[in-house]
Order: sequence, then C-alpha cells, then structure tokens
Amino acid sequence: MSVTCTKCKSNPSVYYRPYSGERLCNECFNETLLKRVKKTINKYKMFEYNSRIAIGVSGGKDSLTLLRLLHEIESKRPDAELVAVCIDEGVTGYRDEALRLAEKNCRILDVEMHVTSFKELFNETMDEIAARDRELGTCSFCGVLRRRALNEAARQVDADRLATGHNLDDMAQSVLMNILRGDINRVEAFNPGGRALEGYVRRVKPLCEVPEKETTMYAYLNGLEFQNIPCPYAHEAMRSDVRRFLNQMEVKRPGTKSIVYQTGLKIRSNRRDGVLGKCRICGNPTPGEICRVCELTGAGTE
Amino acid sequence: MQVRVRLMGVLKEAAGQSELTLDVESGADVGSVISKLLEGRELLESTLWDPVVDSYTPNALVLLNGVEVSNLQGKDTPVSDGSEMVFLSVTHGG
Repeated sequence: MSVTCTKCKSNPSVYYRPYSGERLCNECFNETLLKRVKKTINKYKMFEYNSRIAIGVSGGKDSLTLLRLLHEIESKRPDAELVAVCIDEGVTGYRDEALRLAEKNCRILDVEMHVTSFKELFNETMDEIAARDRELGTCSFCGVLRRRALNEAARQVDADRLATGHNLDDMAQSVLMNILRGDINRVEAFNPGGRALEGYVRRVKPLCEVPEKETTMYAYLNGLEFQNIPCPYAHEAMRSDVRRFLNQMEVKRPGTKSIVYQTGLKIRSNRRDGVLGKCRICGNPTPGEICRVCELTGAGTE
Repeated sequence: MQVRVRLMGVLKEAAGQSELTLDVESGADVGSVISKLLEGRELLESTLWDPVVDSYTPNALVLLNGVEVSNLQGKDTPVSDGSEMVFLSVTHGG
C-alpha cells in the first residue's frame, strides 16, 4: 500500500520524486508537471499570446507529452495556434509507426498535422544515406538534417515558434558532450529558450526541466500510445556513453542531471549570441562560409 | 502464484512480446519477479539491467498495480497472486 500524496494529502501516491522527496498521486503528478512547463515557458518568454507554434512530433513519448501539454496550455489562449510538424526521414519500418502514432494523437486533440520528408528536402532518404560512405555517424548526420527539416517545416506552416520535446536528460547530455568535446562555442550557445535569427524559426524546448522518467510517466498515466520500435540507426556512441553515465550518477546522487543543466545555463550567461553569416549556397544562418547541411549533402559541388 | 507482466517501449521489442504471465513462488517480491523475467531473455536483460548500479532504475520505470515501485519498497516490495507489473522503457532511442 502506497503512502498518501504529499501535495493533496488525500489520494494514494503513485510516483516518488527522489530529487525532491515528493510522493504524488496521478492528479498532482500531472498538475505539477504542467505547472513546471508553464513556469519554464514564462521564464524564457518562449511564446507570445498569439504565437503560431509548430510542435515537432516524432511519435515518441517526449513529443507526444509536449503536444498534450502545449494543447492544454495554449487552448486557453484564443489567439495562439498549434500545428504539428512531422519529419519522415525515410527509415523503413521505423518512421511508418511513428507517423501513424503522431497522426492518431493529433486527431484526438484536433491539431493540424504537416509532414515533410528528407527525400523532398534533401533528395535522399535516411536509408539511402546510411548505405553510403559518410563523414559522420548516422545519428549525427540525421540530427543535422532533421534540425534543418524541422525549421523548413515550421516555415512552410508559417509558424513563428518551433517547440521540440527535448527533456532535462537531453539537455544535460548535450552540456556534458560539448564539454567533453571541448566545444566551448556550443556550451556558450546552450539556450532552451532559443533565439530569433533571420531565416530561422525560433526554437524552444518547453520540457527542458522535466526529467525523461517524468515524460515517460506522464505518457503512461495519460494513456498516450507512443512508439515501441527503436530506430535501427540509433547508435551515437558518445551520447549513449554520456546518457549511461548520467543515469548511473542520477541513481547514486539524485539531482545530478539538473545540476549539469543548470551549470550549462550559468556558462551561457557569460556570453550570448555570436554573429552568424549566411551560407553561400543555401542562404541559411551559419558561423562559417558553408552551413553544415550543405557540407554533409555535398550541395553546390555537382 | 502468478504475476502478469506488461512491457512497453523498447522493452517490448527486446522481449519479443508485450505481455506474459510468470509463475513465482509464494512470498516473491519485485526483485525476484524481475530475476524470473530476465531468465533466458538476454536481449531484455541487456536492455533493462544496468550492471554498474546493479539495477533496472536507470533504464525503466516499474509499476506494481499502477504504483511506481520506488514509491513502495523498491525491489523488496512484496507481490501477490494476480499482481500486475508494468515495465516502461525510459530511453526511446530515436
């Protein structure tokens, strides 16, 4: 028998938060998660009252949790609009299930859904890219193209914000990976609230302070059907190592992920917004002469 | 006695099935049900179990009759005949 919820002090608790000591019932778990996401949105001033928000929906638990929470928050703002943007990377078997789940969840919430594909944007599917020689591993390659594809999709639906389902675990992993790589520019550019850049839809991460275990619990408690099939190319060695290390540290010392994330924010606060030029091939913002997407796809070399 | 097990996310793929029923001894606890579940299921074991911290906790949420077990007595929580355990994969992988 579980103990009583430490918040409402009436219902039986179902979830224990080791980093805060709270024991929460279903209702209080949902309520505290919603409150934390609202607080994050306000802290980073992520949205305007009339923002048209593109939500990157992959069919996984994080993006579906984000879709549900933003629907709950923004449906109370009559001038705000939500549209789901989904990227078909062209991974046989994997993305088919994801798109089906995204469509199902959008239909339930009556949210417009827009799909664009790697084939359409880059003239290659991820299956085709994975089969050829590459400078980068599949995950890194896919990540670069997916970021660009999400931006293009957000522009296609005339959104002024792009919200993605990155959670606290993702953020802590990114901070630590950039430190381990010695990539101080990326550590300093760390910004879950995004920034406005010409040619780019401002990208925001409303779940950046929600641990991955809690997006999982939320998806389960709220009956969200999410993807079961792992991506066949999901083997980014460094992120897997960092994820494993942080997960082990979190067990030994609850709160570790939050400390790493907060440290990333403190480093960022010392320097902001470097000047970006435009890629001479596609015109997208880049710190160099040619952007990463054009480098990887070989655009302009034919 | 019998315990019903449901597996979700990549754990379902690793086990090759989403539901199963395990026969466990009277007086079994969460830890012994997990040991029984992992017997002969190497892919599931490597997906669920973290050998460094000797626990499933980095990789999954485990619920017993709808309550996450770290809110009970963790792996020492007793189970009873007809109990349902749900294993939710935390990492998605893509």
